[in-house]
Amino acid sequence: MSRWWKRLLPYTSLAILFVALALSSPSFLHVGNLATVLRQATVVTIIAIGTTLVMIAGEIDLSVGSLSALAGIYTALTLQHVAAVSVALAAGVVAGAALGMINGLITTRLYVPSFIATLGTMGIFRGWALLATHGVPVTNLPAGFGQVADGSLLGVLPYPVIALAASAAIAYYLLGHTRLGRYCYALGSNRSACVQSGIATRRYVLLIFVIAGGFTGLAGGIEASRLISGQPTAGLGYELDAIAAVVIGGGTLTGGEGSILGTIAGSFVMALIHNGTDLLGISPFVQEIIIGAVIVAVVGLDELRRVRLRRWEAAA
Amino acid sequence: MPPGASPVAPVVEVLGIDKSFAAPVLQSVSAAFHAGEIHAVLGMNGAGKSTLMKIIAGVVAPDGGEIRVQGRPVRFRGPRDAFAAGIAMVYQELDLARHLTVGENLLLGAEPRRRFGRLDAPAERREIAALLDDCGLAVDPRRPLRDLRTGERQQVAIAKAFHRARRLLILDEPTSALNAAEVEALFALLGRLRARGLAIIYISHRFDELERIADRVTVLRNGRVAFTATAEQSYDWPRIALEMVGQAAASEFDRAADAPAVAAPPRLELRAVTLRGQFEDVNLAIRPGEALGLAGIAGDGRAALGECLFGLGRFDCGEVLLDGRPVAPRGPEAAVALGLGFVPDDRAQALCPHLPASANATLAAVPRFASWWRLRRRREAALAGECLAASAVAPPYWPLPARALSGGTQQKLLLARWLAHPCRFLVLNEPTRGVDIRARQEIHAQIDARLRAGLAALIISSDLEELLRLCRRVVVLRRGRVARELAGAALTREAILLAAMPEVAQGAAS
Repeated sequence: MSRWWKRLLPYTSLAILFVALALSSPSFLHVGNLATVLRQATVVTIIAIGTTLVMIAGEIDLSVGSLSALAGIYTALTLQHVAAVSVALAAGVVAGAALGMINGLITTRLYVPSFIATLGTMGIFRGWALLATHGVPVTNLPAGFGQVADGSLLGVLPYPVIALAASAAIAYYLLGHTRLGRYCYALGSNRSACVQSGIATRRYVLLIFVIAGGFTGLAGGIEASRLISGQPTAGLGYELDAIAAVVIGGGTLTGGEGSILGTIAGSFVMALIHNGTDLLGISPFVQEIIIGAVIVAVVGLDELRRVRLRRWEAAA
Repeated sequence: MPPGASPVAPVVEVLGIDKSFAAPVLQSVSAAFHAGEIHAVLGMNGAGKSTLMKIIAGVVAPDGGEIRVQGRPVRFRGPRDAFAAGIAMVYQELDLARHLTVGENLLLGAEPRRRFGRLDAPAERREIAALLDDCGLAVDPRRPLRDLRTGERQQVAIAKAFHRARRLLILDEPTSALNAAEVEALFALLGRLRARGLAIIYISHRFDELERIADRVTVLRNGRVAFTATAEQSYDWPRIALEMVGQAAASEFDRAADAPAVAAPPRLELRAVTLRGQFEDVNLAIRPGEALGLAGIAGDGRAALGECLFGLGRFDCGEVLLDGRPVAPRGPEAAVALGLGFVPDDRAQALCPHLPASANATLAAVPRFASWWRLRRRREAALAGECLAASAVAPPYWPLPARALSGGTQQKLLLARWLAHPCRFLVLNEPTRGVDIRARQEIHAQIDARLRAGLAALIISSDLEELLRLCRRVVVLRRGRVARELAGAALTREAILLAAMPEVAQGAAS
């Protein structure tokens, strides 16, 4: 029973928050407002989808903020040479995957724990982005580029939402319906069990970092479109938003748990708190406090339940 | 009354201790521990030694009976109460902090303090010097612990325990990781502590060591005191070995069924394999359909041998032949690909606690139903169901996460795993440790069935009944070397014990 309660927690929090905001702020339900929330949440949510894979496997990626900025810059630079937006976005994804591979290689081949490895690459990627642009944003991009973040398919479906839905669908399928997904949970649940079952653990961890990098690269391209430039300082602090989304969505720092839908709900919970506090005229300083408190409360409740469960198991 | 009861009142005494977990573990156990005595406690696996020690150290509460310290009944609510009463257990290295110095470790948790909790450095230095002097240790207290060798660390652990508890110390297999010189140093230390009036409980199976230092011996069997003796009477070790195993008739348990005489070439052959410090020059051959038992006492390199076979370690030299072909798996991945399977003695190592029973059972067989782009859930369910059912796991358990299952069911999952991934050779290390009787029987039946189907297995077990139940041939290791190979009528519990313990062998021969 408590397991059900726990699994539903991110969705019920999201629903309660939604209803509460609808009741307390008349402008909340306006299509324009909701579309804004969605567009704003997209970038962090796509990053968080990649982070979900990494965290389920029991690793962590602190470099995603810097990585998304660097991938966004490569998206913009590609766009300066080739006019096609799709090619540029693809270049961002490839760049992201390549950078993710660096994270994965440091973790699996040099045996540096991913927390330290990605703490290092967080700085390296940021410096790299500044170096590649001489600290100046990459501008002079074709006018159509902004459409990626602002445009809609047939005027109804915003492109970022399509990108988010596609990313979510791919990650959902990967986790639930492929060998990689099964190993992802197994790696995070017990690494030595995987080794003893003859699984090439290092290869799969590497692959997971590469895929997470690809998602982050896509998010970086969308962010660049939103800013209509490649900003070397984009994505500051996104790694913490992404980790928070995973954790609110039922993931843990130790691995073995988490889900794509949970992470999306977790990310939207944070987006709604931002939006709602804006609408209600609450100071942005207080927003930070509220979000921090939500993270502590969600994880605290879960840990409390775990401790009880453990006591119960010990007694049994 | 036990023979040789000393006229002086014991420092610590247990009277009629009862304890049950699922089944009774201790039944009205009484023993007395005297100041200035080293008291050896012996018993087979599951005899109740460690439970009794935990009760004396305040870690576990007894169901019935009494503990007396200097004649006064006491009740321990935790190890802290036992410390306060002057009793401590020496945990090998678990309660030492590697990065702190020897001195800091000695006083950890009991630092002399001034007002407002400030550390009192001069008092600390005095206390450390006095303690090292008391124990006769010549370690520099400023050295970080991680620079010490195993034996020295253990002496620090003992000194630390002595600092807190001046009445009774409990040592569990203290020499299992020590070399000969370190054992001598340990005995010298224990001798000094004994001379200072400390009572020491010493758990070990090395009769040669006990002969030298034990003042008194108590044998536990099936949760009861089976035998006691004192040094004055001089110990009759073969008798003690028999008391440990009991006089149970051979008919009490099923013998491994006599399969048709096997003439098949060996499935697995070990030729002079060696891992320095663990085992040396081991030769074994196991045929299809055969389970070879590997017996010995703790620290005899058996676990390391199993791990090396599965690629979790590397042999220093020697050769392994699988179906006549030399193999040298570089890791478990290669071993699994060759058709080897492994069940470790600690099942927590091999299970994914979050994953359902079914996914745990199929973990080594995922490529059978999943490609890079698609995991066929129906095929997986069919495979998992088949293997779990064959391993006597009931369907209601299949979707539950492994952490919610009992130890017996968890152990069955591991058997199911090596059924889902068909293997030619299986290493089983303590396949029924900590498992209830019913699960144990089911696991044994399952292993039998797999043997009949042509599996070859190496069964490492400290449980003699289990070896006799499953194996028709048992190899006994002693200090890393093959001491004896027993089969047919020669294969008895007594024979295994005699082979595993050299001093018994001498005693029996004379």
